[in-house]
Amino acid sequence: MIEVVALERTFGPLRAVDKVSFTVNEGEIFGFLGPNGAGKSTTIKILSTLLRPTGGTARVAGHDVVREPAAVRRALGLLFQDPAVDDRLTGRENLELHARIYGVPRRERAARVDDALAWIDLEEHQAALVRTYSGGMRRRLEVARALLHRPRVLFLDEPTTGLDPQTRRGMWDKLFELRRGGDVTIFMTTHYLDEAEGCDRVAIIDGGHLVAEGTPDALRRAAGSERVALATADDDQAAAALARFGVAPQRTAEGLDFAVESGENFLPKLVGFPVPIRRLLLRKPTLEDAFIALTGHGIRAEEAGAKDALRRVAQMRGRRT
Amino acid sequence: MTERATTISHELDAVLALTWRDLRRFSRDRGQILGALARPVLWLLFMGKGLRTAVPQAGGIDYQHFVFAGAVAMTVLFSGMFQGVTMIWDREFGFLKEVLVAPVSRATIVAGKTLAGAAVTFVQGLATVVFAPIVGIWPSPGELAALLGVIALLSLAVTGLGVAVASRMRTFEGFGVISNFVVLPLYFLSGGVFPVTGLPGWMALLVRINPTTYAVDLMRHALGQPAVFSAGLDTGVLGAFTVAMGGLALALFQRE
Repeated sequence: MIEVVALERTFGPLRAVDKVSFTVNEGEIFGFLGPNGAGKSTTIKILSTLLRPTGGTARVAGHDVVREPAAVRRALGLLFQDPAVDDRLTGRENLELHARIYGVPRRERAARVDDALAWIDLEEHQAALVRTYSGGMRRRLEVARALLHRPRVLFLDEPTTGLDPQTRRGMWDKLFELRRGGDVTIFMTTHYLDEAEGCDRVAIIDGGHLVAEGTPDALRRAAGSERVALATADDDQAAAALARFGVAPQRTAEGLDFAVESGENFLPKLVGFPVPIRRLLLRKPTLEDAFIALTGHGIRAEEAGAKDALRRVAQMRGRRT
Repeated sequence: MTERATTISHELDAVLALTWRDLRRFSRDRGQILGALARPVLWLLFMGKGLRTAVPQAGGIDYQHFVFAGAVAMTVLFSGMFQGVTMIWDREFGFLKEVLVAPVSRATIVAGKTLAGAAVTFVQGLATVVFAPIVGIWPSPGELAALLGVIALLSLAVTGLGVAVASRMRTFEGFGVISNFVVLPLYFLSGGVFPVTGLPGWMALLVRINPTTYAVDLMRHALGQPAVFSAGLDTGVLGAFTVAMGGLALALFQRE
C-alpha cells in the first residue's frame, strides 16, 4: 500500500531523511518509531504530498507522491501532530466542512457525519464549539474527520502525544477496531515504545536513517534472547537437571541464569522439576532494549521545543478572544 | 456526469464550503461584527465632520460630500487587507495544512478565502453607505446600486491583495507592518482625501498609478459628483486591478 525506495530529504546541510526504504502492506498498522527529530514527520509530510522529496521515490495506494499528488490525496487521511481542527466551528461543522472539501457525495454527507459522531461518542457535543472540547475530544474528532472520506491509507503523526493514559487507550481501541475492519492501512509515527508494541510491524528511524524493520517480536528477538533467572534449594543439582533441557546456566549471586529460545515454551518444562524452586523470573528484551541495541542510545522524550510552547500560549490567547 | 464535470462541481462546492467556513467564524465573533459596523461610522464622523472645519470645499463640492468616497475606500482598503490575517491564523493553528492536503486545487483555496474576505469587506462598505446621510448624502436607488457595484469589485481586489501578502508572511507582526505599508499610500494617493488635480508632478504620477484612484473616481461618477476620468476608464482599471490581484494571490499562494 506504501512503497518507499531510497527516499531522501535534505534541508540545506541537514539530511532529515537519508535513503529510507520500506514497504507497508495493505490492512496493517505500521509504526515509525524514533526520537524527536529523527525524520518521522518529514517522512509523513512527503508521503502526504505536503513536502517534496529531494531524492528517491514514494508510492501511496499505487500513486507516485510527486507525479500524482491529487490521486494520493484522495486516497489518504491525515492526523497531524499538532491539532488542526477549527475551534470556532462546532464538531459537526468541522466534519461537514471536511466532507465537502473532500468531495463526499452530497446525499451521503449527513449519514456519514452522523456515523462518525456516533463512533467517537461526540453526538451530544456535536453542536458545541470545538473550543469548548477537551484535548481528547478534539483528537477523537480529528480521527473521525480523517476517516470521513474513507481513505485507503490513514497517516497518524504522533497521534497520542499529549493525551492522558485513558484517552490514549481509547485511541488505540479505535485503531484496533479499524484494523479488524481491514479496509484501511495505518501508518503512524510515535516515540512511545509501548505504542510501537501495538503495531503489526515497526520501522526504527534514527538521525534520518532506517536502522531496522520488522514485527515488534522480531525486533525484540534481534536485540537479545529471553533469559530465565532461577533460584533453587540446591543450585548444583538444578544446573545438572537443566542440562537435560539443553540449556547452559551461568552462576550468579542470586542463583542461575540462562538464555532460552522462547520463555513461554520453556517454562512449562519446569513443572515437576526435581529441585524445589524458590524464585523464578522470565526476562524478555523490550523494544527499548532493541532500540538501544540498534542505535546505541535510548529514545529521548525531550520536552516540547520553545516554538511549541509559544504556540500553546498563542492558542490559549486565541481561545479567550 | 463526466469525470471532468464532477471535478469542477467538487471544486466549486469546496470554494463555497471554505467561504461558508470563514463567514461562519466571522458571524460568531460579536466583537468583530460590532467593530466592522462601527468603524465606518467613525470614519464618516472624523473625516466628514472633523476635517470639514479646516477644509470647507474640495473638488468643487462641500468637503464632507467630497470625502465620502474616500471614507468608503478607506473602509474597504483597511478591511480587505486585514482579511489576509485569517490566512495567517489558519497557518498558525494548523487548519491550513488540513486544507492543503485536501484533494482540491490551490485556486479553490485562494478563491474561498478571497470570497469570504470580500464578503465581509463588502458588508463594511455597505455600512458606510447606509450611514451616508451622516455627511448629508442621500443616494437614489440607482446611485446606490452603482456604488455597491464599485464597492463589491474593490472589496474583491483588495482582499485578493491581502491574501497575496498573507501568503508570503509567516507572522502577524510582519503582516501588520507590510499591510500598513501597502494600504496607506493606496489610501492617501487615491483622490479620496484631497483632489487629484493640482498636485506636484511626482505625486500626480503616483496617484495615476494607484488603482484605488479609479475606484474612488468611479464612486464619484456613481454619486453624480465631479469626476476626473471617464467612467469607462475607471471601470476598466478597476476590473483589471481585481483580476490582477486574484492572479497575484494565486501565484503567491501556489508557492506555499
